[in-house]
Amino acid sequence: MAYTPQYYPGSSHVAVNRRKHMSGDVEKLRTVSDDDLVAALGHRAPGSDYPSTHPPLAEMGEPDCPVRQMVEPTPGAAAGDRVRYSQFTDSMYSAPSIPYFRSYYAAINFRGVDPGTLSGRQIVEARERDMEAQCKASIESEMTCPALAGLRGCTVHGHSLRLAEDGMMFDMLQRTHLEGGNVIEDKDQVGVPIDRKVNLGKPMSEAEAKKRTTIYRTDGVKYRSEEEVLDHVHLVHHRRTMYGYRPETAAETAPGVGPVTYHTV
Amino acid sequence: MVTTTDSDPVQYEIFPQRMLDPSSAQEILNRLEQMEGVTRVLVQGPRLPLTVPYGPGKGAPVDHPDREVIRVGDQVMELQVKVGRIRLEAEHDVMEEIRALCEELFPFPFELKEGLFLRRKATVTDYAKYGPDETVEDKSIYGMTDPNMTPSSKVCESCVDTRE
Repeated sequence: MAYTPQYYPGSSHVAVNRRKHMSGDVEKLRTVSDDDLVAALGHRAPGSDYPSTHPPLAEMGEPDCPVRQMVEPTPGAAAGDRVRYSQFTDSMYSAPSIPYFRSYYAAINFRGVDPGTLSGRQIVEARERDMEAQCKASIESEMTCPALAGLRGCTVHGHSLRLAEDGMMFDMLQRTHLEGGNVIEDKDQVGVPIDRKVNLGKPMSEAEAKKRTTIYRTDGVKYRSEEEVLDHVHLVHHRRTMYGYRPETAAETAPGVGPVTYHTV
Repeated sequence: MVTTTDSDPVQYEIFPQRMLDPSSAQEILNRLEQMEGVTRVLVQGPRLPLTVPYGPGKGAPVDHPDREVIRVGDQVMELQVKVGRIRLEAEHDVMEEIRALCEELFPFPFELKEGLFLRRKATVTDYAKYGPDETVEDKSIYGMTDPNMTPSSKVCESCVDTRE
């Protein structure tokens, strides 16, 4: 029987969503064209070639190295692309994803990406076409609600502010706005106006955002109500604190000892 | 320490669950302006810059639609912030009037608190901006200005920073 990793404990829909984000089994909700995405990222002109920092690997003649023979280069690395970034911000008001789970999603499901996790934003650095593939997958999936999350290369402080009356996350640089019920992006991720209107689709309703969120909140699924998650976090904390870099030597939590219960304060 | 007495004006803070659009802000500010006893009103929220202040896009125009010109009473002003909370001072207790007003105007929940939100005594910053307390005619200006405003906008003559 093939092993299926569980990725995250818990039984609530928040835990289920967290598992979905980590496993990459996310629903595609919208389509953003390649040119629109390139314009929104702002690293190169839509339709132009990828600038490169070195010749394609096939032309370079690599040294005789067993690791290089074992590891197939990503398309961006093989072509010699530049390293570029995409950065997402997710509102604390029940946005579908959060920086940690965007990073898990990128690191588990894509090769050659370097995710960076911060409190209010999540950045992915990679070769340009690899980054675009990862960014396109996350922006088109249920991980992103155009009103509650956004491509923001800078000024991400809207994630922790209250929403506007129309339900949009505050953005000092007004990269996105509601137009006819759809969220339109007319600036790139650092706030420079672009010559097109990128349609990101309809925002999620409040109920749908709460259904798809990965955030435990007191007005939604409470973290303290998730016993399995708390138990697991206690287990990791106990092993890490008591046994440092040798958690497998923890006698009281070894396989066969039986369940160990940690009591939530 | 600031002590309060029964004769002191009372202060309130309105904290709506959503940030207000310029039209909603104009509506509530006008209604507060007409309310008897209200002497000072201050709006607070995240700034709406004219240009991108930092990052790779620094200097690009923002054109934020919420940076609108609003009319409050007989005054016209440009909103420089997204209105997140409103602090006001009144000569007597108007808590219930404000609560009724907010319930009428806001389709979302809000918090209404009574407390000390606008200072009554001059600080060192106020001294630098306006001069000694005894020379300041209108003391209601204390606590009503942006602490980050540029020194050149209003500074006591003797305290002007000439280092530049």
